[in-house]
Amino acid sequence: MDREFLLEQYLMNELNDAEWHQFKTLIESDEDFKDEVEIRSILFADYKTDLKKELLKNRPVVDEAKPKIRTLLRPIFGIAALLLFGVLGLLLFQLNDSVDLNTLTSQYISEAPPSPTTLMGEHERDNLNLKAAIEAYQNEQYDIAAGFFEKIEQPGNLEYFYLGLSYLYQNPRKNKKAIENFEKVIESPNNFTEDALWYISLSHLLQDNKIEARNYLNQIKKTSANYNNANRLLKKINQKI
Amino acid sequence: MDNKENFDLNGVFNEHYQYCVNWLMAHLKCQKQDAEDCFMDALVKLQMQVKNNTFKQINLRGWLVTVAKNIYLSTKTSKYKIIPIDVDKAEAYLSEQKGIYDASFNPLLKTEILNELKTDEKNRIAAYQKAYSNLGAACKKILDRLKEGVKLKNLTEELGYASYNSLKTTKARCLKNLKKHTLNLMNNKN
Repeated sequence: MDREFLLEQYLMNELNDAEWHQFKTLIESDEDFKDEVEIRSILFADYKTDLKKELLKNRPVVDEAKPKIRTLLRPIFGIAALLLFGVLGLLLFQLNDSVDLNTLTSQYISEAPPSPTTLMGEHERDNLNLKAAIEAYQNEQYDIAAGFFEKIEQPGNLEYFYLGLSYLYQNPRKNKKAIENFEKVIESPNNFTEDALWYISLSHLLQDNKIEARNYLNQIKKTSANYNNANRLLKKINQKI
Repeated sequence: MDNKENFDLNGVFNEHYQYCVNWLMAHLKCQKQDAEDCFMDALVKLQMQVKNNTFKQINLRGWLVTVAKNIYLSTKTSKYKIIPIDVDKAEAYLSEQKGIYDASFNPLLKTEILNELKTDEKNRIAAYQKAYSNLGAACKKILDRLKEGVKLKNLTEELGYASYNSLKTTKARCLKNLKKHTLNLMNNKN
C-alpha cells in the first residue's frame, strides 16, 4: 500500500484495522518513515493551531452574563446558593434513585443517535442505498431506512449498526432484529463496538432480558461515552436480580 | 458547501457551534472546552475534505457531531500513540506557544498531554518550526500545501510537476533537508 496514503489516513485518524497494522509495521521497521510521520504530525499540528486560533476569535458568545452583586453580599449569596444546591442535589439524587429500571431504560433509549456519516474514507460502499437509508433515518422513517440498509450489498459495521438502530426505533420496535444486527457489529472491535454494546443492552432490557443486558453492559469500556449510564443501569439490574 | 470556492468555515462554525458543543457535553459528559476543541478538530477535518473534494455529506451537523465524538474518544485512548511526537502532542505544545490556551479556552485533554511533554520533545518541535521557516521556496510550497491537508496526489498538477513520482521524490528531499536543518539547530543549541 502507498506510504503516502497510509500517512494521510493516519493524520486524518481514518486508518482501518488493516491499514493500521501496515502503518504500525512500517513505523517499527522504517526509520525514515517514522521521521516523516513525526515531521508531518508537527506540520499538521501547526496548521491546526493557526486555524483554531482564527476560529476562536470568532467564537459565538454564549450568554453567560452574571448579575452584578455587591462585593459584600457575594459571600452570603454564595453560601445560600451552596445550601440551596445541596438540598436540591439531595432531592434530585433521591428522585433519580427512585427511578426504576424500565423508566431509566426508556429514558436512555428515547433519543435516537444522529444519522450516520457517509462516504468516509476510501471504502467502497453501496452509496445509492446508503444515501437513501440515511435520508430516511434522518427523517425518522426508520422502517424505510431499515429497508434500504437491508438492500446494501456487502454491508459493514456502519450498515449493521444503523440497521440495528432502524429496527430499534421503529414503531413498533423490532428488538430481536435489532439485536441480531448489533451482534454482528460486536463480533470484532471497530468504531461502532462501544455504541453497539450500549444499544444491544438497551434492546435486551426492552425485552426484559436482564442477564443478557448485564453481560453486554459489563463489556462497555471506561473510555466509552456510555460508561456512566451503563453503570447506573447495572446497579438497577443487580437490585432486581 | 457545494465546492471549495464557496466554503465558509467560519459560517459553519457559527451555525453549528452551539448545538454540537452542547451535544458533545451532554453525551460524552466532557467539559465544555474539550467539546469545543473536538468540534474544531472536526471542522479542520471538514475543511480538508472540502479541499480534497472528498466531502459528500448530506447531513453536515450529524457528520460534525460523529467526527468530533470519535476524535474525543480516540484522544482519550492511546491506540494511535506510537510515535514520540504525534499530532496531539505537537498541537498541545504549539497551542501553548501561540497563546491559544487561556482562561476561556483550556481543554483538559490537551493540557494533560502538555504536562506529559518532555523537554527534548519540546525542543525538537521548536527546532522543526525554526528549520521550517528557513526552508527554500520550492520546498515550502509543497510542504505548506501538505500541512493544510491537501493530498499529495492532488498537488502534481497544481504545482506543475511532470508526474506524481517526481513530486514524491522532491517532497522526500525537502523532508530530508528539514530534518538535517533541525538536527543542526538542536546540535548547535547543545
